[in-house]
Amino acid sequence: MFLSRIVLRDLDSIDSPTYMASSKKVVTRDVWERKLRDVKIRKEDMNRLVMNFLVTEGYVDAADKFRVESGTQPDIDLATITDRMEVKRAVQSGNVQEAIEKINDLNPTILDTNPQLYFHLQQQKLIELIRAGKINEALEFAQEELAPRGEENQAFLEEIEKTVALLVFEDVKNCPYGELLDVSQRLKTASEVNAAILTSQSHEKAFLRSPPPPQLLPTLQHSSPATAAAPSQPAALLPHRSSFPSPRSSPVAAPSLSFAVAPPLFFSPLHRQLTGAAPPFQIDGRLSHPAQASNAEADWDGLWRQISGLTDYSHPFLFSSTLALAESYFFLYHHFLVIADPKLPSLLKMLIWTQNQLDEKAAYPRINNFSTAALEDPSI
Amino acid sequence: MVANQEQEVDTASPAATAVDPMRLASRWRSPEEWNEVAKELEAEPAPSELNTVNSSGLFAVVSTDKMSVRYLGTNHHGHDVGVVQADRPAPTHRAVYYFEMRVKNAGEKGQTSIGFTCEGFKMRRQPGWESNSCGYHGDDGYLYRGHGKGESFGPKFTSGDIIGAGINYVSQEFFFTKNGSPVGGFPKDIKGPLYPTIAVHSQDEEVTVNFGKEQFCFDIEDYILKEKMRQQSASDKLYLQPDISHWVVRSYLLHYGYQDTLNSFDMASETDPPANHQNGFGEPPEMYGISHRKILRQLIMSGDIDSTFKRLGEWYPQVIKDEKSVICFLLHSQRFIEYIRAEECEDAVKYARANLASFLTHKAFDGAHGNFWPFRFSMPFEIVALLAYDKPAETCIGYLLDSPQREFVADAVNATVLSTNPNMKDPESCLYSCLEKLLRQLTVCSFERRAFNNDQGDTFLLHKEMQKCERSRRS
Repeated sequence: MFLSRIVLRDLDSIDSPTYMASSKKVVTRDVWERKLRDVKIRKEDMNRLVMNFLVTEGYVDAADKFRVESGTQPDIDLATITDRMEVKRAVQSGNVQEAIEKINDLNPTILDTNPQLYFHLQQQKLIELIRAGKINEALEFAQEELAPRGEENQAFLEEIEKTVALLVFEDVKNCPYGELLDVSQRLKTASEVNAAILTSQSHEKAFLRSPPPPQLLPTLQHSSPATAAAPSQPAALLPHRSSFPSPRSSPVAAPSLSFAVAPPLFFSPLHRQLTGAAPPFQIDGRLSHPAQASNAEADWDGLWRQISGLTDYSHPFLFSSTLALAESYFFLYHHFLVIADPKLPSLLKMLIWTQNQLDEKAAYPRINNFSTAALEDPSI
Repeated sequence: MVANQEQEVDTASPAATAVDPMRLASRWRSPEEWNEVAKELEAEPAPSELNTVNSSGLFAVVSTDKMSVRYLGTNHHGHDVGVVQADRPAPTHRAVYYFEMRVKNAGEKGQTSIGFTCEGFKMRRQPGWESNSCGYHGDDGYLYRGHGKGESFGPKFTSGDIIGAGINYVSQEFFFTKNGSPVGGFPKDIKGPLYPTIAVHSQDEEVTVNFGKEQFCFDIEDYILKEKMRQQSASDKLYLQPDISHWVVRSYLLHYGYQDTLNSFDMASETDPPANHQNGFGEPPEMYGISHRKILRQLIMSGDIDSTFKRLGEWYPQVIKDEKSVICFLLHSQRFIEYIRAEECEDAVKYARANLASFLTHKAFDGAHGNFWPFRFSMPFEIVALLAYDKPAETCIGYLLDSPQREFVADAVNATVLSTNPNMKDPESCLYSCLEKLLRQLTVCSFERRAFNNDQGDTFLLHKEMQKCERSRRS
């Protein structure tokens, strides 16, 4: 009566199983439909799956209506989602200032307890002013907002000094430090950053998933799509960067500085990949609608594209500050926005995968068109 | 085909293409019943203690609690091993099986070992010394895979060490651990039921076994999670049609008539609908009668069956035209149930006499379709039996008074109304949403796949997936 026993019984009771030339077992439509009917699926579980989708994709109002219409309880308090969506919108449209304000409204302690995060966000603003050529404004901002931070913290001071030093170069792109870093090297560094971020994680919020177990880390760098193409050789990056002259602005120090002082991140794209089975995400300024925003496909390259629109990655210091900015974005994104990943896409992919696996052994009615879920007869 | 609306849901006829609302089965919508079903779905006997019947009693003695074994006397040669198997073979309906052994006393020569053997193993030889067995031996740290000569594998182990042995059905490997750390693994080349096996072979050797009643030294949960993640990341890399999840959710809402949710969903995704058409998804047939279905559902969920009848008469008279149809039975029985809920027993009896009596004798309810839904034929009797109890809610049929029962009736009415759509080509679509069809296919495919893998490994079960959601939400 149970599905597994039915399956085995079928295998046994078929007297002369029909085999294709390549000896695949053929399952007729009738037999398959009987199996389909015998599956026991609770409506309650399907409702929960749908609710999970609505909640994680940010359809707050729809989730609320669904709660009323179907009696299903949402995974998470709906009230908090709207707030997060606001922050998310600000972050993804690159409006750092607005994001900071909204975060402060939502949870003033978060920036207080993460001074580095706040500092990097401020620093980014300074860089933007310099790039825009607004020298006076930049200096004023540096003096009023950033310098006090530098007094509190030696590391911050160094960063401020480096940032201000950019003012010296008329053409930042062609400054002596600026050896253009190509895409693959950026990607390598990105994976390096990611690994470092992961090792710096230690906390877990109530609704977030736990950090990946340490044993998983070695596999991560290779499983990230960003590094899939480029061979992961973070070490190769270091000698190149160590060719920069000044010991104080040593490029080896620069990136490690930025994430040594970086706040412990609760998530990272690869972490999400691990725990939530979603590929690394992409911040796409185009996505301003809350519903769409969280389901963006992930892509380090896309992130760089957007951030490089904000800053200049040719300069090693700027590059490291870009990394810091990336971290900040990730931190904000994940802390405020990731509640969980929707289960549904993952299950649909599992269906594709399982059918592909089964194809090797049997010819059976497949579902090829997910929008109709129509069974297609096994081709003989 | 549901062309003839006259003989809508005539269950007496063999017209299997008609919409059969009973397939939306109500019994296991109640939590208690479902737990039973779920347990049966996943039940598989597993080792719990050592087998005292076939152990080599000459050379070793198993403790009274059947969890330890001690060598007797002194050993002299290679055919006096005190080997013991577990009482049952390792279960295969899971991703990984694992157990551990603790060396209480390495005795004179420390020749304890752990591994897996088949039925009919020569119970005087170390696991791994005979074909169709494998063993990790403590005296030399070697791995034996069916020949007398082993290969260097891991560290030796002695008194106080906890050694684990496991079968990874996903990667088809055996693996061993020592004191919580993995030692190594190798491909599983033995077929058939495998018994966890431990052995002692020299004076005073004693080992204790743990089949899971106590916590393991090795973090097996983590290992299993890792394995599952690997599988999931493989499938997650696959290409999924963009917006398909959105479409599937939308069609679910349409199917069940959750109109308010649907409207909100559409409004929030205003940029998406055009994409749907672009992707060639087409206009969903479930749009049919959605506002009516929404109202009908609301009425039934609030217990107002009289209004439901009225509305159906106005909007879809063909549904209730046949007084003997399943849908009429369900509606009448729900009305009856509502009387019981309101504790209006006299009215309940009156109603039953007027409307339910005929169903008790109807041959359609005598088990004709009772193969997989054996409770079906007893449903009219069960419902009427509610009368017998003073406090029906506290009995085993109390689930009939709960809202899942109302929901079942609502879903049945929904399906039947959908079937009145002249454009509805496929009766299955009245019963199952696109999402449900996909989930069923996933379930069957995953079971079939396991069957091809010698019935080893885990399968997809929606309720287990959703439980995982629940657990990670709480943690």
